[in-house]
Amino acid sequence: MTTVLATYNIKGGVGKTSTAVNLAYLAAQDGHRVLLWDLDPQAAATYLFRVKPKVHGGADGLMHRRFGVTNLVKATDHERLDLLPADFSYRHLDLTLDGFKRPTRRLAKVLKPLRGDYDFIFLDCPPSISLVSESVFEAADALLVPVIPATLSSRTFAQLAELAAGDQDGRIGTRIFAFFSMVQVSKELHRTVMARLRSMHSVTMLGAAIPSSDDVEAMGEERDPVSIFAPDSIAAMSYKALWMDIQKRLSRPGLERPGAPA
Amino acid sequence: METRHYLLPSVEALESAEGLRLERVIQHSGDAVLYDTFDGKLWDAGALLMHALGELRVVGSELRAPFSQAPDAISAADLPSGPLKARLEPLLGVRSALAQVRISGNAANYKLLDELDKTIARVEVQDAAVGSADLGVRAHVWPLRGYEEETDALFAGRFQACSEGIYAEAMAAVGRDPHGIRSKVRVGLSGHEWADGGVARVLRALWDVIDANREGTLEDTDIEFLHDYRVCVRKSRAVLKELRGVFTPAARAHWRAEFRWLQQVTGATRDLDVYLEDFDELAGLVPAQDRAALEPLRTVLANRRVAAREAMVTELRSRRAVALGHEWPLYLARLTEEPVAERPDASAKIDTVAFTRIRKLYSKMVKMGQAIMEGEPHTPAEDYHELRKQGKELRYLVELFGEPLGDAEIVKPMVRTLKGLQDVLGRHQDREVQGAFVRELVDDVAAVEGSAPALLAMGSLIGALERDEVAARAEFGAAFTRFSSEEQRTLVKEAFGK
Ligand SMILES: Nc1ncnc2c1ncn2[C@@H]1O[C@H](COP(=O)(O)OP(=O)(O)OP(=O)(O)O)[C@@H](O)[C@H]1O
Ligand SMILES: [Mg+2]
Repeated sequence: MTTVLATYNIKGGVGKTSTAVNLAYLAAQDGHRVLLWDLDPQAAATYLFRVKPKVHGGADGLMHRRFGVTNLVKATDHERLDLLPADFSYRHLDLTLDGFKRPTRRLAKVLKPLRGDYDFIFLDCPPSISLVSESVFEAADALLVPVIPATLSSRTFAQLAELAAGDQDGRIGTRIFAFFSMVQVSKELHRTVMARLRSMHSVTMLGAAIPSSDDVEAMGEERDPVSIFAPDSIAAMSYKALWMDIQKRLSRPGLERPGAPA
Repeated sequence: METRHYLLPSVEALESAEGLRLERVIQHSGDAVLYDTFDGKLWDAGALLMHALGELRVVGSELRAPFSQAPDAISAADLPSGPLKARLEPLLGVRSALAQVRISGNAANYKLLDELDKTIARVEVQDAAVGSADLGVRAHVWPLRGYEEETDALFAGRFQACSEGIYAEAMAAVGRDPHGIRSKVRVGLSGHEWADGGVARVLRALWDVIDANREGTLEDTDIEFLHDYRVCVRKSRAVLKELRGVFTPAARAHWRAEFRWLQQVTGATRDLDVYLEDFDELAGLVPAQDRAALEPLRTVLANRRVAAREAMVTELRSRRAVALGHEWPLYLARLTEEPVAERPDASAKIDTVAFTRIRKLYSKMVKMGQAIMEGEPHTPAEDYHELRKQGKELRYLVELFGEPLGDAEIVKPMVRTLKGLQDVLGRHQDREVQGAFVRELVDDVAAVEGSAPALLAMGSLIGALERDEVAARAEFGAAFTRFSSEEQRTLVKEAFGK
């Protein structure tokens, strides 16, 4: 059984890519076979794995399944962790998807041949709400949503609530795990925000949070997951705690969804 | 992923190659020991076992398991559970993997990087030797997924590709055939050669296998040594018996007696090996609730085996056995010089002699089989047994002489129907013998305290064996009809006619 996890937030620069890269690495370290698909034409995850941001045939070839998707995968330098790289053409992914009869099913279809090869597939999404993200919602078993407490706006809440509502309709069937990212501010604010999020029953607020850290920032320099160059850092520990938390939730299906069938 | 192998002029040639960005990860020196079964099963399956640096590895795969020492022999039971064991266990079966060759030298592992510092391949370089034989410097290259073409482009054209790792050469350096030694002896023969010369070469090849299996038989390394030993003794006997005209009557009588003796003294141990090996299968014939009660029988069998082995080892070390081992090869070397007057087939061609015999044996079997069919349901078990013995001899002649000298396309289907017949006859015979043997063991088991349930279960086993014997007998007709069909007779004439 393959579990598909997508890091998603409509906002940019909240830590989606950092999270996807670190969690994918930790999953592979646990002995799982892991694939990360970098869906962002900015290619940040691809860069962090030192892979050239190029996919033979581009977004079009990929979505039309012209070349076996298994042939487009690149091994990263880390055992059991592979990458489906980003490509410049992904910036037209929305248009490409729009050409299909059922655009939102497309990503799941493209992923299908890879399911047998991997235990976890991570999708690192660009910051947007679009056909791409809808397609991601359909393909993913769970969305991992980094939230920066300091900048948590009512708009963000509205969006999360909307996502979760779709979830409750059963339209998406995707679980939503939010967690704090780049935590830096006083406990006071942290608590208020937590309380507000808790009041949204449909969103699971994970206990683990990622602090703001120079080590995470240094990933761009090191081009490796933090656990490799700063294994004892607070950042590395936090990603581990986050990964454990997520696994625990995944093993208990659907508890966070009130009204979800038992 | 497929490994690429390259021959290097030196380690420096690789390290200083322009445009190759290599980063050394680890360098180690020490011994590696290669393991395979005596009959080369692992090599043939592309799963050679290697011990190095405190772990076992299946060469050319990711399979590995910690294993501190490098012993002389490793059986499936010795392997730590995991994927490595799962891969090797079915290949090994009852055989042990034996240390074949010790490779010493230096090895270094590298990462091959592209311009983004991305690892695109792992490279292992070995500068190895076996004893004083230098195996040269080789690079084994494993491209990472998605980087095969880039890696090949960097290596090919620059270094000479070679097909194997160093393992074939390492085996050759100690004079071993990586395919091992098997009881399935194949000697290249030509129809133009004289019968006695060809027969002598075949017998010599059989003797080499017997001799090679002697030590493992004496040491009880695994039970297949004795098995292969006996198969080749039986094949030698079949040749002595069936191709009589190439020997003088006196010599033939002498050697037949010697080989009969060799087979006799090894028989009891082999039978017990088989009983113990098939114990669970035999026990499967009785109802599930009685199976556990058969355990005392297993103990009795194991004890008997110890005694039988002791007696066998004494015989195989006896003066008679040693003399046989010394004189038989000498005799074979001189066979063509023996007086021709007493050897009517000495001046015939090998194919004529062997094919005539194969045809005769085949028609003899057809007649025997017909008599069996006509005699049913009152045919004595002994007649089936005789037919099976003939079948074995025919099979050996076909394998040793028919296949190398005849048309393989014609010989194959004939071997297939013969094998089908032999399988039925074998089961019939085995059940007959097993039933008698279990009956014979009743007294031994009765002597064990609290063996009443075992005796009951043995009674049930004897009944089951008898039923299966009857079932095998019922299958004889169909197998024999295939073997003796008009089509088969034509095939045999075509393949072995003049
Ligand atoms: N916990 C953290 N502490 C400090 N810096 C962080 C942390 N997480 C991420 N960053 C930095 O913030 C920037 C954006 O992070 P990241 O790329 O992970 O976010 P993103 O949500 O994927 O962004 P985008 O929307 O552009 O894809 C990067 O420079 C990253 O190094
Ligand atoms: Mg990103």
